[in-house]
Amino acid sequence: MNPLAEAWRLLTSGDLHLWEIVLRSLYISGTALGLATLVGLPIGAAIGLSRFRLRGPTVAFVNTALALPPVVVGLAVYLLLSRSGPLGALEMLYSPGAMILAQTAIAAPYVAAISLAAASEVPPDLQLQARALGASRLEAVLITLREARASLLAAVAAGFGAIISEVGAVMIVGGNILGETRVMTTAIVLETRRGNFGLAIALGAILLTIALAINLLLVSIGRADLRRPWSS
Amino acid sequence: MLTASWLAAALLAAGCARRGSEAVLLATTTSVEDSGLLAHLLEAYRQEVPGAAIRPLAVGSGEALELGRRGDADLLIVHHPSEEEAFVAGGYGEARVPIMFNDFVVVGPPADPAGVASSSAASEALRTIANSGELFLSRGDNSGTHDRELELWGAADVAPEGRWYQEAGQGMGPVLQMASERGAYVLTDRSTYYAMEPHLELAVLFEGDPQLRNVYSVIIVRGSLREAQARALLDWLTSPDGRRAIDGYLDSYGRPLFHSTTPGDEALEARPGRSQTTRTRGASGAPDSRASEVTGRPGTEAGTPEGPMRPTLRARLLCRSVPPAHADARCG
Repeated sequence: MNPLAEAWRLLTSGDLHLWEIVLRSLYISGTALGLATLVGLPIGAAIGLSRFRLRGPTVAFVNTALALPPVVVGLAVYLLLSRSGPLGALEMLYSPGAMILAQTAIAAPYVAAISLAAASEVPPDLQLQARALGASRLEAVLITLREARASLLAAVAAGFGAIISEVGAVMIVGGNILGETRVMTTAIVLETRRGNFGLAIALGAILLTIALAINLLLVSIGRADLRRPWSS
Repeated sequence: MLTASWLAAALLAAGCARRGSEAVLLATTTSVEDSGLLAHLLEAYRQEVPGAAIRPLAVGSGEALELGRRGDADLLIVHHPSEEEAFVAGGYGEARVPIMFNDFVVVGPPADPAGVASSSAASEALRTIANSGELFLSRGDNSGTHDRELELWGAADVAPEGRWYQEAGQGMGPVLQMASERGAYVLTDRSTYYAMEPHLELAVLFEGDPQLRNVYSVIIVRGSLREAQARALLDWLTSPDGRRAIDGYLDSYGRPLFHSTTPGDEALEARPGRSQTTRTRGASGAPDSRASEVTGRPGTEAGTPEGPMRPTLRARLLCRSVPPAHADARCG
């Protein structure tokens, strides 16, 4: 069986289960990415643009967070939300909310570490020039970040790639429940274990196609920004 | 530099592959691995046959059979009778031999809000859960356990759907964990439940119905390059030594987890030339003419005590595998 043909057949067959799983993946990873960007981008940019003692160790710390295995994040969130855990009363385990929480924790280090590097690479003179030309401190920072927007979008794209493809954490805290917490990656694991290798590959092809569409969208956002004149 | 390291990695990989090519690739279901039996058996086998090279791979029954179909595994230990029959009928299996069994049990919240404990049959227990509206968590992964669960819903004449029924699509261990968290009912194999019992807030609420018997078979993959080694392992598993190793595997409370098939149990025993038609499924209700050929009995109805499981075997299954605290009057 040709996996691409199978993927196309699945997408066009009007299989509501499949679309539901695709939309759930996008909802969970999209929400997590939004939260991770809200947390990670300001932290990364702040560290990248400032000069302080212990900056080196701080950068190393942020970069090390990238090495956190998603399964460990999943396990930590599981222990947090478990009935016998500190947040057990919320009864959030095995829900999309738990998956969003875990994926936010996985994506935030990616967004923070890459935006840190992006902000560090803008020549510091730019801020000084902007200040000299009458910009306020906040405006100077925004001008600097706009200069680094391509790299900042790459930070967001990296965070997205890390969680849309992630399976260990969502399996533990989501439980892969049909119609509730089953997403594309956990469906792929399930079909592989069922021996439906062709279907699993087809789902993988669909996941990649969606990731491509999202990344094209991110790139076009960067371009749109580029066309705007500086003195807006 | 980069090229050199790539080359080194490739050579290393090739070296590993060559070493592995002499090892029998044994694909088993997760319950055999999770319960610790696999490691126990392989250790015993290696003591007997020093230098025996076996690479065990714990996957789902469906994946194990697919690996066999593709020629990526040499030997399979699975418990999915209908799929096994299709596998052998499709010409992928050389021999299929039932080697051991345990049983399924219905576990749930110790308080038993649905009132399952007083059921007289497995299908009745499931119907009670469905009627009560309490949560039932299904494997939902086409595994042998899932297969049996669906058969039982069929026998109970209940369509498993609705808010009370959830498909987890995961292995036995994670599903037991989830059921414990959510206070749900689950059909599980006894071995995995015993192995995880200390971490679970679940109790055995129904057990002992012949419909709950769970038979594991070994299949040699046809066309395997390591057929001789695979057959040697199969022969050992069915030898007195192998049977002793299976029966001697106890959990931390000293309870046996699996029971080897014995030559007296004709419904389970495989005989030369007939193993492919041996009916290993429990009294699932589906009459099967091939079963009659082997056992010499007509297809039996689901739930009757005189099912294909002989009384001695059934007594063994009921009493040997039940810890004293849970043993009921039937064990005398």
